[in-house]
Amino acid sequence: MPTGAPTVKPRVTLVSWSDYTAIYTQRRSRALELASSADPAGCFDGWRFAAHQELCSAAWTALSTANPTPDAAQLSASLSPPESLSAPPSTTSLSERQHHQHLLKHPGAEVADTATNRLAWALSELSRLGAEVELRERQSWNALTYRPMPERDAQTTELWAGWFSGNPWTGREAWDALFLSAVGRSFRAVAAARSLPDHVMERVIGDLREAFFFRMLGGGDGVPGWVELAVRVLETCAPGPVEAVATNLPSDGFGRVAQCASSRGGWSRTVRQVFPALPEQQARARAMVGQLTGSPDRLEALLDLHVVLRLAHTWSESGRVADSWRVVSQNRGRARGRLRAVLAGAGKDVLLDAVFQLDAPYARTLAALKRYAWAWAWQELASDFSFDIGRVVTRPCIEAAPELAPIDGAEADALRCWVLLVVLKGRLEHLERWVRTAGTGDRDSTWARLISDDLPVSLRDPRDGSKRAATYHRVRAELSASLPGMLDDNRPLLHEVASLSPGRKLRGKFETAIAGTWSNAVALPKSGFPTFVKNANLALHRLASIEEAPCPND
Amino acid sequence: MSKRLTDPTLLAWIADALEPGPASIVAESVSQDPTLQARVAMLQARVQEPVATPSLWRIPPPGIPSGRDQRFQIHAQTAAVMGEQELRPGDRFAMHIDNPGPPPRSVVVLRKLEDWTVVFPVDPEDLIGLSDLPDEDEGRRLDLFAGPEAGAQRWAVALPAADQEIDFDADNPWDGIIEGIADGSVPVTSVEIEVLAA
Repeated sequence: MPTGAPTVKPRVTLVSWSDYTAIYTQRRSRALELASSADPAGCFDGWRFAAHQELCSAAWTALSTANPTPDAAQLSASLSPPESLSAPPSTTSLSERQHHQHLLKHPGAEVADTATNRLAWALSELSRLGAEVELRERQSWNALTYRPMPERDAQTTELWAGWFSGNPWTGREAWDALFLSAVGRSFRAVAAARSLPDHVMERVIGDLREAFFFRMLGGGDGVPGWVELAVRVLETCAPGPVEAVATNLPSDGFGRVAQCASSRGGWSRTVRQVFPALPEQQARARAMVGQLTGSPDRLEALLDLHVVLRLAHTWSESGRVADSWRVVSQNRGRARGRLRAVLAGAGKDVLLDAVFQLDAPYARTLAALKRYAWAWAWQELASDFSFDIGRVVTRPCIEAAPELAPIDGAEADALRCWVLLVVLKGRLEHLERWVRTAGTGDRDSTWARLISDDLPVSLRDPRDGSKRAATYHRVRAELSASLPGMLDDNRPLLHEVASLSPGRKLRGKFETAIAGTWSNAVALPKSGFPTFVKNANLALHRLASIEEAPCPND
Repeated sequence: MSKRLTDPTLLAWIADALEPGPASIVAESVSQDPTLQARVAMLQARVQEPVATPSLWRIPPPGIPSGRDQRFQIHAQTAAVMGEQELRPGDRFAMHIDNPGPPPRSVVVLRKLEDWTVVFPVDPEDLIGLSDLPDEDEGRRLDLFAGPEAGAQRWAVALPAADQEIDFDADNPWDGIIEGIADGSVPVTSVEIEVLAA
């Protein structure tokens, strides 16, 4: 890493084996005790919702009915008696996470696979993950030091003034001089990650040189890049990225957050569990606004609860308990993206004061820009670096007309199944474009059939009696928030399909693989099974390649 | 532990593009593992090359119209001009230029070779106005001839105000246009055409 960098990072914090075993012993005892007592009080210490009894109850309900299925190594790594733990790792000072991984690879004594032990495992795992979330997702942001650099800070402030005033042109050379090379590094890194040939990389960098300014400037109906960047800059502020953004939301911002959360995908289930007495979605949204207004810190509590509920949901699915950190980081990442989109969509005036009050604006802008550029570069890669300035990096939460009911329950399952069919038919990119733009940019007949024939009729928008063509605002609104989650939910099935061997019995094997998970609302395909296997592999490869963050538990 | 960190993750870390939490996870692993350290050193070389100094002509890639207040699109039509479906070196092709609006504008055509080069006008008497071009449904039509090289060719059209002076006797007659493109007062748009080998 560069030395003398504008952002000073803390040293890596490691713990000795003996300190770790002390933490392990305490966590194990507590988990076994709580699992036996079946009392939610104290089960979620370390998570931000622990002080809110009603949120703990919601988490407990989900956890106690999840019936997680850890394997022998996982049970052992969390619940083996301390005296049976394996020898310490060769490097004795490691992070807690690394020590845990060592135990997974070198299990101690076998632990009986009982209902109580499985619950104790879940509680121990939640305790460990809660500490990781605190460390990685909150403390790590505050541990950074943004170094003031007076000359560059003054330049950066002046350049921000240009963007806010609507006249950035005179600062273009200075903007490029300060920031283009950092953006170029992100693009080179993404090109290297996909092993693009040198001549392609040079073409991309050449185009980037001229496209950077225009990307910031924006075009079309989307939020300009500089606004997206400004929101990311605010994320660098204390006390952490969630609260920093939430604090700057305008008065109607929480309404947008609540509307999006209460009506979309996994979040809608979370909100329903927070307000079990409110049967109407709009009532739940209003109640959520009531909780958040004046208490932006409450958002971290709700986000933590959402993560725990998603973990419980994931653990309830056979073979997915190893995905824990990915569940944490993806759900936090998506929620934060939604939050950024709400603030970015609130208009530049909302951001003005906050940006100009920043200390060390150069260092903060540079840090935010590097992350923005990484996401931007992956987005460009997916479209062969066409540098479409109308696209936004931060996916907005598309608002459906309020009279359209949210997609939920059996409908959500049918939609998930249809998404799987879309992927198996090799049209994931079409789907992503359609969600984003309402079109696909081509006249692909397979896509047309997926929409007209395969999408359950019940998912179309209600007709108003006229004979106009069917519309799909409800589906697009739902997928604008929940497509990544649905793809994630479909991942185990995709793995199963991808591993099927070709031959005359392929159709039977396919039907066995999807048995019990295919929605009755979506017609089972009758042909194309070899293509499904190929497309499942391609989709998994693609999904893996767009992971933006490392997943230490994968 | 090292095999858990993929090259994309290491590259993101090298580019300083990871959030603090994931970055700390990578830092822990790299600090403990000489194999990863060697891998990082190898990957670093791939991302450290600086972005070369931009051309004087600040012309954005195809698809991005440039201009402070007024922007325009051009559409290259490489078929049907000569009744062929594919463009070969030297073939005629058409560009249709949207009118960005007042004031009246001149047309400057550039091609990217090593750098952007003005191909039209070369003399004061070549100067034409946008309104002098045939007006068709798709926009003002400009006919050009593809260059002699096969492959992707980039072309650009700049539309300075018609009253902007171009001093063809100066060392660089295009200084004013270059400046106007850079500050957004002269709208410009580029396009890429694919030319097959003869």
